[in-house]
Amino acid sequence: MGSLIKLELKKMLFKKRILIIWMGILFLSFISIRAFSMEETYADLFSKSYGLVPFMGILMFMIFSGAYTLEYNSNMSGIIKTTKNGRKSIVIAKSIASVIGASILNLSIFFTLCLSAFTKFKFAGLDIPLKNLWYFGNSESDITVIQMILIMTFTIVLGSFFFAQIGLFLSSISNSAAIPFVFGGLIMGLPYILEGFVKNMGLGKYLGATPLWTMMSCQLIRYKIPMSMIGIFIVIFIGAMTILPKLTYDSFMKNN
Amino acid sequence: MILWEVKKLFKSKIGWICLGLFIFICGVMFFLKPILETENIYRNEKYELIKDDRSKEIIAQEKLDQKIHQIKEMASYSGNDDFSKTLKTISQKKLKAIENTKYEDVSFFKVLNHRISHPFINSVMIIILVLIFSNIYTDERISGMNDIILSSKNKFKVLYSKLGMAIFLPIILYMIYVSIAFIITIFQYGPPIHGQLEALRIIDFAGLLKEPYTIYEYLVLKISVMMVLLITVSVFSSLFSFVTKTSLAAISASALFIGFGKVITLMRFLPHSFLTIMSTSNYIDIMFHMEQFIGMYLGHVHILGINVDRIQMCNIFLLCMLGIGIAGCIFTFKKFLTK
Amino acid sequence: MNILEIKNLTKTYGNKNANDNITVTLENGLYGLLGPNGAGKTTFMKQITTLIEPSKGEIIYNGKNIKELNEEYRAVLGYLPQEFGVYKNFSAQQFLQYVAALKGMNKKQAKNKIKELLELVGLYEVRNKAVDKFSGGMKRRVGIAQALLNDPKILVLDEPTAGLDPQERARFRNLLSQISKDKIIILSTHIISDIESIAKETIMIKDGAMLMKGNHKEILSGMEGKVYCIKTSNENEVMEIQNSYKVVNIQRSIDHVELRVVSDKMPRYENVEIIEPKFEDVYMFYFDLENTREV
Repeated sequence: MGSLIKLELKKMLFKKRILIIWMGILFLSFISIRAFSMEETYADLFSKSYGLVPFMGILMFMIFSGAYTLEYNSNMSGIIKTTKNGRKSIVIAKSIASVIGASILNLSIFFTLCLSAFTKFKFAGLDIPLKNLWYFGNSESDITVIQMILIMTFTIVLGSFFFAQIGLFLSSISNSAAIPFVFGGLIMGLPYILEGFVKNMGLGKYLGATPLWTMMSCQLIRYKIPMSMIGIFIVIFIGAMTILPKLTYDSFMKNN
Repeated sequence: MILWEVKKLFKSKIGWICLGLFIFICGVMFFLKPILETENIYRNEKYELIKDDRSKEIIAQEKLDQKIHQIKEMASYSGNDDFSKTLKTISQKKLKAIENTKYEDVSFFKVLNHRISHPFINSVMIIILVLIFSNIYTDERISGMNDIILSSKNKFKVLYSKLGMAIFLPIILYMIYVSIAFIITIFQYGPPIHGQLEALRIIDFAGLLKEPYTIYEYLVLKISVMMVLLITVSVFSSLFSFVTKTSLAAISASALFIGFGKVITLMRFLPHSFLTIMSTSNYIDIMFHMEQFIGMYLGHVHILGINVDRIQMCNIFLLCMLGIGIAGCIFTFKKFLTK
Repeated sequence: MNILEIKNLTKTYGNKNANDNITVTLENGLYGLLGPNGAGKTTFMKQITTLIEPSKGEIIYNGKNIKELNEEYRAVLGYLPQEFGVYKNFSAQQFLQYVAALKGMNKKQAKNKIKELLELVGLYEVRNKAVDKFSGGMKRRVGIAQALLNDPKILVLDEPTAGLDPQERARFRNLLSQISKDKIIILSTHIISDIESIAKETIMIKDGAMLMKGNHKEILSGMEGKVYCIKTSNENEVMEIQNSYKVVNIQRSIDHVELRVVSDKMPRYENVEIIEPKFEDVYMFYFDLENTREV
């Protein structure tokens, strides 16, 4: 299984276009943080980490979209399914590889932002509470910057888990990579697009139950999302983690 | 040939998905509604709904009065910088053009204006076009038809018909959408009356409006910009489809193209004037905040020693991008695909 | 000894039988699967490779149903589909490593086997080059190598020689001959010469059903007295013969035309003689030119 995951990861990540775009986004992440006062810069860090979400989405769904469509289009699915590990194991391997791949991509972008911000102040002030940063203006949160970074590291991995399952499922039911790319991106980005609209309708707190906001957990703190919403997301998460891999397996097996 | 392209589109799964999405946005549009001039509803910091219970006419008149007052203040402002001076002249011009300060029912146009450029509608419309056009040539490659096309007598006719479709389909699609919006809005908010009145009556940033546009003129301007945006996205998606080998490569290139302008605005080391232009002419901001750009005055930028209106510069930029896209496609046909 | 028993195999799509009640027992050796396009060969092979499930009937490997054997069965299976793409960013060696991982081979075992197979298919020198850059024949050889990785007891090859040049085909035939001793090889093809010399038996499929099964001699013996050579110098007669009989070959000389014809009855022409049947005649005799159908 280990080598299968490793090779799946290589298949997904080590593509020229992925590497170029990834490097481009890392560069962008680094330069997008500017040297203001410490509080301003650290607020900028969280603001930009949410602002760069569309690029995380593009990268993530570029790797998920081809996971199954590539096998279908190249007729490799026939070969794969006739091998000993070509059924449940390959679905699990693809899933793990996607989670690892997405986590590496997303965390690398987030950590580049952090590095860019922290090096400007020689890693000082990491214990500043979030309530002192404009980005968390009304949150009154006592969580410190470093604590938030650690929480986000965890939730970014959690989000990568979730979006990987969505992306893989969409890829497994489609023959064209365009479909999982667009619709996966749409599922991820809907709270991003509709934020203003939803808030105007007074339904802002429900954004807290979306996978995107849980992944970028600074949003949960910023808007003081109630625990009930986080509870709803946990239910959605468990449901998706249980159902989606099974659906993915079924559609992979059905596609001939 | 172009009809064949349309036929091919509807024979493909993506064509039907796009049709589904189009029907979906037409359905969603039914529920899209701005806060009308006759309403005063907002949410406080706790997201509680606050509603003004006064009569519609009073609220609407108060809002109009506020807008006129704001323009009057700008017209009498005595700032010495270029921006204030220009704004003063513009405001005086707008005041002269106001014939009637009494509120008239403009609900139909207020709603139509909201519906024809809602960020969600714009996003889905862009998704539809990217889905269609980033597959327009990759589908031929995957099915192996590309070699047959390129060895045929009418190869250029086929290629140009694909480009033609990238130009005309967004126009047709958007016009159908606007027509449906028009009809639905009539049913919901009554007939389109008072379109000859000042555009400031239906927009929120009335003070920054560059010209004393009528509602009709303003809507035409908005629809035109929207069309340029949609055509540009289609043309570039097609271009990526012509030069890449897989639909995923074409579609991700299209996504990056759309986001690239916004990315540039983060590169603070670039020249200030360039960043200023990009901050108003990147496709993401146009898609999401169209109201803030169309027909507005946002100051001037200095380029090569010349003072140019920022929005005008942005319009030029958008048209240039469209031109570059079309030229890129033609170049690809002549020097890349058929060589 | 490996025994694959196929009992009453039926696959139905809607109201069409893609495979209709096929019963056949296969033992070690190479079996050629012959039939026109749409006859049901690929459906038959996909059921043997567990890619699709039969609507009726069962497949028994060494006394056990392959459905129950599941992974155990796939561990002894090798499959080369009609066409398969490659991963652009993989070299030949990496591609085989990937398939080895899929086949559950451990690293050391896989390393040795990959080296051995790359040498066998003549690709060892180019093992680190991207498969994407290989010619059609080379890609096919990579395909064969992947199918052989787990030393399969059942090897299913779907039109493996399509698109190969004569040299590559000969090389491929020799390779199959070498390895067919201790395994069941099922090979589908349109190219009769591919199986003519190496197949232990040929299975002919028509309209989803098994038409006949037998070795070279048995199949040809059924054709005795059904192959004719007609000589004529009249062009109108040539046209007439073509319209009335299945013509396998037309050979033109300076003063006459020789037509090789397969028919149940002796054609009534002046210069007709019965000739020795060839395998190609069998194909022409049983399958019509337009005998294709959608499955």
